[in-house]
Formats: sequence, structure tokens, C-alpha cells
Amino acid sequence: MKKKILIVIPAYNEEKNIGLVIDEIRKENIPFDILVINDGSKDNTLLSAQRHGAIVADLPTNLGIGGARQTGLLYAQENGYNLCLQMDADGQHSAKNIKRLIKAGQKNRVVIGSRFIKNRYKGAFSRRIGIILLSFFLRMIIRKKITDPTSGLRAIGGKAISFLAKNYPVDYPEVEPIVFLHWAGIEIKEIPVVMRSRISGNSSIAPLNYMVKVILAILIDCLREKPKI
Amino acid sequence: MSKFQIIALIISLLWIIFVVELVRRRKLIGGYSLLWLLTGILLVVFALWENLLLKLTHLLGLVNPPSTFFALVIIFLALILLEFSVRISRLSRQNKEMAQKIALLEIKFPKKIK
Repeated sequence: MKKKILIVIPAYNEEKNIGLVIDEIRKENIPFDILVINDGSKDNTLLSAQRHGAIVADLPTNLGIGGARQTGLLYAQENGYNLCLQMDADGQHSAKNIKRLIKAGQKNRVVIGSRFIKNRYKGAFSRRIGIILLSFFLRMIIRKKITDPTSGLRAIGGKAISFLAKNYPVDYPEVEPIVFLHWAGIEIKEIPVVMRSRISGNSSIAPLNYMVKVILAILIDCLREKPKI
Repeated sequence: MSKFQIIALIISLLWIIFVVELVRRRKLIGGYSLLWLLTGILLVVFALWENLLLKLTHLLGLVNPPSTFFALVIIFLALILLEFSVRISRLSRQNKEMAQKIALLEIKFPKKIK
């Protein structure tokens, strides 16, 4: 498969980080386009990203990470990309992972960059518990072990792009897509990655109450008509 | 007519006038204007027809007419709130789709810089 690659970075008020993130990605010598989704930022994220040479989709209002990522998938679909790489704008995802993600990325497959395959996670206790429970819950539904269901570092290939562009869950955009992809019969593969602690700002994923809501959302998804390709 | 009935009637009529005024100024549009008008008319009916509430109370096997009234009001409001939630969900989905389309169009056709 000849890979036409788009790197999608949703950014909300990340004027300080976004330039660094883009520059770091550019150092990887691979042909790809970088699309920053400016998710209604109040600061100069838009200018900052443009100045560093990214294509910028400028959302007129703040849609949240799910709506922003979906915008990236829609762009990828419209412009004929067959591999869509999702990254965070906060600098957590080291650009060093990109090459391996792209290598593992294939037609009709979603690759998730996992922090926990090789490394023991050193985060807060409550979050660790949260992720373990979530992982266990997911395993019951999709019958496959996903060690890092909240990872936002993903490579989405082929038909999975148009599938997710159409069926992107907005409320819990990390975990729910995994279930949707499973239902659609798209292969999910995890590869180990290294993540840094954030350069600045706070994670939006609050552990325990987030976990309860995600599980409820997925149980409701089970009652719905399953999305198909 | 009891004093309470008169007060209830005045409040109901004020309600109807208020709704009509909102519709007239186009601050309230669509199906909801009709719904709120009907609510006002229903209030007038309850105010004028003394026995209606009593009959309803007996019919439902309840004892206290005011409780019947409040129960009906609460059920009605809960249904309206649910309907609003449905509508908000739809609006936010439409809003999301529109925002995405605008952002993608702006890439295709960039704003001209003066």
C-alpha cells in the first residue's frame, strides 16, 4: 500500500506547545501533511500553527476533542489520505513514535500507541486503577486486550478513516471508538510507545468519574444499532 | 366564583398574554408557541371549572386535589424537559456538523487577507 499520510493534531489553547510539536514532527523525515484542528482556541493557536507550516482547520466554536478529531478524519477522507495519524498537541506524544506507528499502520487497521505494553505506568494510583478497570471492561465486550484504551496516539488506516469520520463518538472519543471499530470488524492493534509528561496544562481525562461515564456510555452503545462500515 | 379562582384566572390570562406577546415579537417560534398557548388555555379551564380537579382526583384514586394538580404539572414539566434535551442533542449535533463543514471549507477557500 502506498501510504498517503495525514497527521492530525487537535489543539485547544496550545499556542505555547503547538509550534514545538509541529517542528518536532517535521524532523522525522517522512512525507506527510500536518493538519492542526484549532478547536475554537481563545489564544493564538491558529497563527502559531500556520506559522510553523501546518494546514489548519479553524473550527468556529469549541467542539471538544471528539468533534475536532472527527474534523481531521473528514479532511483525510475528502482528500484521499489512506493513513491518518492522531496526536495530541500538548507534547505528550513524542514524535519518535511516528515512524513505528506509520509502519504498523495498514489498510483497514487501527494502531493504538500504548504506554503500558513495555513500560509500567507511573501515573497517579486512581488513574492506574481506572485504566485497569476500563481495560478489563473493554475486554469483556470486545474479547481482546487493550492495554491503553485512553491513549490518543493512533494510526487509522483505509476504510477505518471513512468509518470513523461517519461514526465518531463525541462524548468519550478515546474508548468508544475502540468498541465501534470492533463492531465494524476493523482490526485493532497495539504497539508500545513512549509518552512524556505534559509540557504544560492538565489532562482532560479525570480518572474515576470519567471511567464510570465511559462504561455507561458503552453500555448504552450496546443497546443501539451497531455502526457498520 | 371564589377569590382563589379569580386569582388563578388572572394568572392564567396573564400567562396567555405573555405567550402571545412573545410570539408576536418572534421571540418564540415553532411548535412550542402552540404548546405554551394550550398550557395557558388549560390553566383557564382549571380556573373556571371548579369540579374538574375534584373529578380528576377521584378518577385517579387520589385524595388531595392540590396534589393531583402538582403531580400533573410535574409530569408535564418532566416531559417538556426531556423533549428539550432531545432537541438540544439534535442542535448540538447539527452545530458540530456545521462547524466542521465551515472549517473544512475555509481550508479549500481561504479567507482573503487584506
